[in-house]
Amino acid sequence: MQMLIPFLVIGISVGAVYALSGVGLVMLYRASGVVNFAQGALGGLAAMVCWQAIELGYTDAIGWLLGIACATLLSWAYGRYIAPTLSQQDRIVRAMATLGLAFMIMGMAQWFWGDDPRRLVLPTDRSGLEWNGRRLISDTRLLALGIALAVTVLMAYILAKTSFGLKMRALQSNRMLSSLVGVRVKRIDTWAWVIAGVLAGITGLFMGNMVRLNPTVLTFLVIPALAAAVVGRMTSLPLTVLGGLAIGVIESMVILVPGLSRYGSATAFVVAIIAILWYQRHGITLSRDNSHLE
Amino acid sequence: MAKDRQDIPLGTPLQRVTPLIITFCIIAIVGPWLLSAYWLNTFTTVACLTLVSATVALLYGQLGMVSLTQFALAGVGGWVCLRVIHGWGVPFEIGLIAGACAAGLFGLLVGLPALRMRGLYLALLTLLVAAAFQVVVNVIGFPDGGEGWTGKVVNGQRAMIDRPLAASSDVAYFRYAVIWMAAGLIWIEWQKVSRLGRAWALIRKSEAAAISVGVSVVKYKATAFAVSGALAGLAGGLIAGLNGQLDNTGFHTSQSILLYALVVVGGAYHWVGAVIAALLIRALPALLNDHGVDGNLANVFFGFALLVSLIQGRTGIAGKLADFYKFVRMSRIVEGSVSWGLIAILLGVIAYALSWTSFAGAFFISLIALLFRMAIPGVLWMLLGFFGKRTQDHAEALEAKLSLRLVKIMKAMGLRPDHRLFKRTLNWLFIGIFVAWVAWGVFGLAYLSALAIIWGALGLKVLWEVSLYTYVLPWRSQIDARYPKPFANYR
Repeated sequence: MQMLIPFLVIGISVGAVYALSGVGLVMLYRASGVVNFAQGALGGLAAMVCWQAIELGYTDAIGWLLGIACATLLSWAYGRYIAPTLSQQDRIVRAMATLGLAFMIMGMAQWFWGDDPRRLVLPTDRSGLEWNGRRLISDTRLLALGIALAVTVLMAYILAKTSFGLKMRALQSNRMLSSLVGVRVKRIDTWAWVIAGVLAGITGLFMGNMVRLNPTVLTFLVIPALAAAVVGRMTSLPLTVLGGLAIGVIESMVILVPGLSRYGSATAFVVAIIAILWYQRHGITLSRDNSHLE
Repeated sequence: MAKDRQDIPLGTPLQRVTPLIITFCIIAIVGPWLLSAYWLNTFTTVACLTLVSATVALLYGQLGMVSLTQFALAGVGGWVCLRVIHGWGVPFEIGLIAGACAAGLFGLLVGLPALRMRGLYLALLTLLVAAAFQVVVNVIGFPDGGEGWTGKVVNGQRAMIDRPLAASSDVAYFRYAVIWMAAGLIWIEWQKVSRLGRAWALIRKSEAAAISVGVSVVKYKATAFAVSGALAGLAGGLIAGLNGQLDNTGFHTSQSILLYALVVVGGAYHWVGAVIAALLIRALPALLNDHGVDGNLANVFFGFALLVSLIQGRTGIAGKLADFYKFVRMSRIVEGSVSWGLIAILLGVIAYALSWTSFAGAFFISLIALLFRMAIPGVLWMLLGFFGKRTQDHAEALEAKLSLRLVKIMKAMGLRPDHRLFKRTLNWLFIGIFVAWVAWGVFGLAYLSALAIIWGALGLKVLWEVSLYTYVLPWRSQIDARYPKPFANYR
């Protein structure tokens, strides 16, 4: 048991970041029906910009803000100017278009920063919770967990209680009818992209700190986040968070199982595949797809 | 949604397949002459990847299903192929077939849940499978003659597999790969206009409609998945044969995703699109590398191209090429240029033989005449307009009368009548006077010999057309019927 706790703690914190990223995906999907494959690339960009700013001698806070602002700005620009040109297309086409954005960001970042080994150090790395005289968990990981939970609660509150959330849910249900009753579709849509951009930026910073600071690696970390969102059927925030945490914990616990330890990074995919099949077997519809009404 | 393609392509299977056969025969024969050793190997890989992209295009173009796992399926095929050959020492082809069968089964396994799945979830599921495959293959590696069921050498020399006996050299292997690839593409093209393709088109249109007319959705979707898996696996085996071994890094998830993106860019509804996708994914980075450009910029270009082709109608580069081809056929540029080019050459030879001027001089004068031909009739018509509308009308009436007479004469002579012949002859006679003047001024040619060259050209062209019209005109009307001119109905 003594041995398990560090792995559990690391798993939970990585899972929390997956969950945070997954929440960003679900929010955007619920409002605008787009599965954002560029979430990871936006986060990667944020982390690289932040690293560059700190490298140039700016204070940490400015670096974080710059990174998150970059991700948000790009996300906003895409949502405002490119996504609307595709709004009449199938969901699948709209999702694949974000792949284009992801490739562009990833290519640019990789070209500019290259593959050199780097580290993004956060000030919270140095302190942490001590237990029996040993560092149990760094404050960065605690912070990630806290932010993930707080953001989820906040988003759930916005969706359930505010008029903005109501409009988002209206969009999810049917864009044309919502515009008929006076919901400003484009504006709500754009706001959803901004929220997704902010969340992508925050996750990117954490991922860059915890996993590896490399644009390509960070870009493809969207896949575990997608797995978490799939567990939440692309609709449910609590299930997404649970999925993310479960993926993180299993991934880090598998290391202890002899013979399976090297397959750890496949956890997310296996969990999501099982979830998809399970939902399908039990006749639970995987997110309401109203594209035939649009 | 905008209609951006035909549901079922035109033509019989044989008609669809013929251009494919001709193209790949030419590539297989000519390719090795043109390419250096490095590029030959690159293009062998391109041939294998064409097969993989053709399977992505099959699923996306025919059934509207996005599969992001085809590259992983190629990996499965390659793995099994290597394993079988190392394990039992069988000939290369048997390994290839075994790999294809295994990948087909695996593809079917991935596809089975998809039978009831909407588009987006299928894309996600296949993406997850591809990602999981990457992890597994990273751990167990590709077989290279070692012990155990993974066939992996722990410490020591990695063994290679032999190429097929008939194709041990690079050139022969290039042709070997092209033949396999062509066979796969031809099969797909054949099916598009046969029973399978019709069923796929109906399923894509509406599954409910397909069920109501007794088309088995399960059967045809499963067939598509199994076949595309098998062809991707075949390509994987071919890549393994090229290098004798496979490398984990070659089967990254990003490659599967990139391949899908590039198939959309290349065009998923035509086989040319698959070729373009393969060229983009392998030959373009190699080309950039040759010129010292960072390969990552290719990714930026790919992303941009994907966005553009998704926003614009989804027929991709192949669609744009088809549009251009239609435009060329419609405007008869080719027909005119070919006949004029031949005449110019003939004229050059005659002028040279009679030592009036050099071959090049006569050739260029007739080409300049062609340019004038495009501009001068309009200018003349405008000049005629200065004398008033009535003059224009008179000219038209006179022209119509004379044309009719000429048509009658042609009919009497048993030739195919052409009502435009008179007008064109008149045009040419007039232009000759101008161009001869240019030749006299610019090239320093005697005015009369220049005029003789140009009127000679005219005479040749008229003779040429009159004598061939019996064959040319039906061909023209066939083209016109196939590619109707815009606004033709407003006449």
